[in-house]
Amino acid sequence: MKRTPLYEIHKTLNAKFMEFGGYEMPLQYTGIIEEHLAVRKKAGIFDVSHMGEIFISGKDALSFCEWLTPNHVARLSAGQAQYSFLLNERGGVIDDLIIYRLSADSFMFCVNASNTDKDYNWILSNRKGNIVIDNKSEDIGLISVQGPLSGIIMQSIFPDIQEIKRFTFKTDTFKGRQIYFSRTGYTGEDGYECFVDNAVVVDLWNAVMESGRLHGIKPIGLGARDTLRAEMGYPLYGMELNDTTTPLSADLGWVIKMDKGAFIGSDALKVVAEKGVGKRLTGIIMNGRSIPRHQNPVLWKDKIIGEVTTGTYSPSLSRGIAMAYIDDDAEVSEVGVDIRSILHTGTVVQLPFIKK
Amino acid sequence: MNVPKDLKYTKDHEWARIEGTSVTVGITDYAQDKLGDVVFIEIQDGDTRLKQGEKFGTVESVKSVSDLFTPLSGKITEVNKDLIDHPEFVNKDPYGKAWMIKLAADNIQNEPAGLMDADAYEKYCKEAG
Repeated sequence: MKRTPLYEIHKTLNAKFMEFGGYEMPLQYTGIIEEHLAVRKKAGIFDVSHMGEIFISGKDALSFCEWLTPNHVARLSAGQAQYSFLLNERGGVIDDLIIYRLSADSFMFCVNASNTDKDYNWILSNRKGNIVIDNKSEDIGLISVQGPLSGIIMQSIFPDIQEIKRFTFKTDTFKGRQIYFSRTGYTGEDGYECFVDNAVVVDLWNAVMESGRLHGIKPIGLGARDTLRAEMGYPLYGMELNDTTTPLSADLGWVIKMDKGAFIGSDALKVVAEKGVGKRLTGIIMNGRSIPRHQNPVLWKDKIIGEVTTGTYSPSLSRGIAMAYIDDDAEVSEVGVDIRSILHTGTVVQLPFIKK
Repeated sequence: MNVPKDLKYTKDHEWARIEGTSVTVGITDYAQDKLGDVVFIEIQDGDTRLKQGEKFGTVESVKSVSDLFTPLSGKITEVNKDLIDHPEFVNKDPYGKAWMIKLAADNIQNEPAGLMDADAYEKYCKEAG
C-alpha cells in the first residue's frame, strides 16, 4: 500500500488507518464526531495527498479540455477553477474533478485517488492535437484546511491568502517550492487546498498546525471528511457517481454546458435530457435513531422506489441521513428505508442537509 | 487496552460478569476502539430467551454496524435503557455504564468454560491486531 509523506506524522498523532485509493490513509485521530464538529465550528487540517493531479499543457490544451470535459473551460481565466467531469460516450461519469487553469495553455485536473490511473489512461487514449499529458500524482502532496477559522490560520503563513475568492487559486512559493493554494474544499465550510511538492508537505503541515494551535485546529481523517461532505450533499465517486449514472440524475446538470459545442458524452446527454433521467438524487433524514447505509432499499407504500447511495450519521443533526436515488416521478415526502430487513421511516428533504 | 481480570470474554468481543446465575453483558474496550464513535444501539426486549451465541442486538458507529451476541444462554432480565439514550457510554465506559443486558443464565455450570479469561482474551486481541 502507498503512503503519503505525512504517514509518520499521522502515526505520531495516533491515527487509525484505512485503505483508500491504494493508500494507507488516516480514518480518524480522536473520533469522527469530534473531528467533524471541529471543522464546522473552528478548523481542521486534512492530508489528502492521495488525490491525483494530472497536468495538460500545450498549444491545443484548451480545445482538448473542452472536448474532454462538459463544463465551459474557456470561461476560466488563469487562476480560476471549476468543478467538472470526465464522461464516457454514454454520458456516464468516469470521474468528477476540479480543473485549475494555470495559464492560457496549461491546466491541472485534481481527481479522485481511486480513479487516477483510470483517468490518466482515459485522457491518454483520447488525446488530440499538440498537448503534453503529465500525471504528477506521486510527486504532489495536498493539504486541505477547512473551517470558519481557516482564513485566519492560513493568513499567518500566506499573508494575502484571504484575497483569493471561492474557486480561485494563487501560485506562490513555500520553502523554495512552487505551491498552488485554492479556496476550495469538500466540507461546505470556507477553506483552502494547498498543492505542493512532496518534499515540503511535512513542513507545510507543521506550519499550519503551529499557526492553527491557538485557534483550536485539529487533524481530520477521512471518516469526518465523509460525514462533512454527506451533510452538504456533495456526491462521492463510487457512491452517487459511476460510469452508468449521468450527472443529470445526480442533479449536477448545472455543470453540463450543452451550448458550448460537442464534448465526449454530449450526444448521449442530449438524449437523456429529452427522455428524462428516470431517477433523481434526494436527501432523507431518518425520523428515528436508525442509520441508513449504502444500498439500503427506499420504499413508498411497499414499493421499492430507490436505493441509498450514501448513508451515515450526521453529527450536526444527530440523526441518520441518506442520499438516495429515487424514481423521478415519485412525489413523496415520507419514505421507508429498509435497514437490515427492518423498515424505518424518513423524511425526504432537498440537499444539502445543512444550509450554509 | 483495558481487560478487567474478573470478566469472561467471547471471540466476538463481548464481556460477561458472572455473579451466581446473574450475568451482565457488554462489549469490550478493544471492540469500542475498533468501532469508533458509537451512535446507536438496539437491544432485544426484556424476557427474551437467548441461546449462547445468539444475537441480542446491534451496535452502530458512524462508520459501521456490528451485531451483539450473548456469551451465555439465558433469559434477559434487564436492559440498560440509559444506554439507548447515551450510546457514547460504550466509548467512555465500556465495562461500567455501558453494560447492555442482564441475563438469568440457564447453564452456569458448563457454558462459562467455553469463554476466555482476561489473559487469553488479551492474547487473542493482540493476535488480531
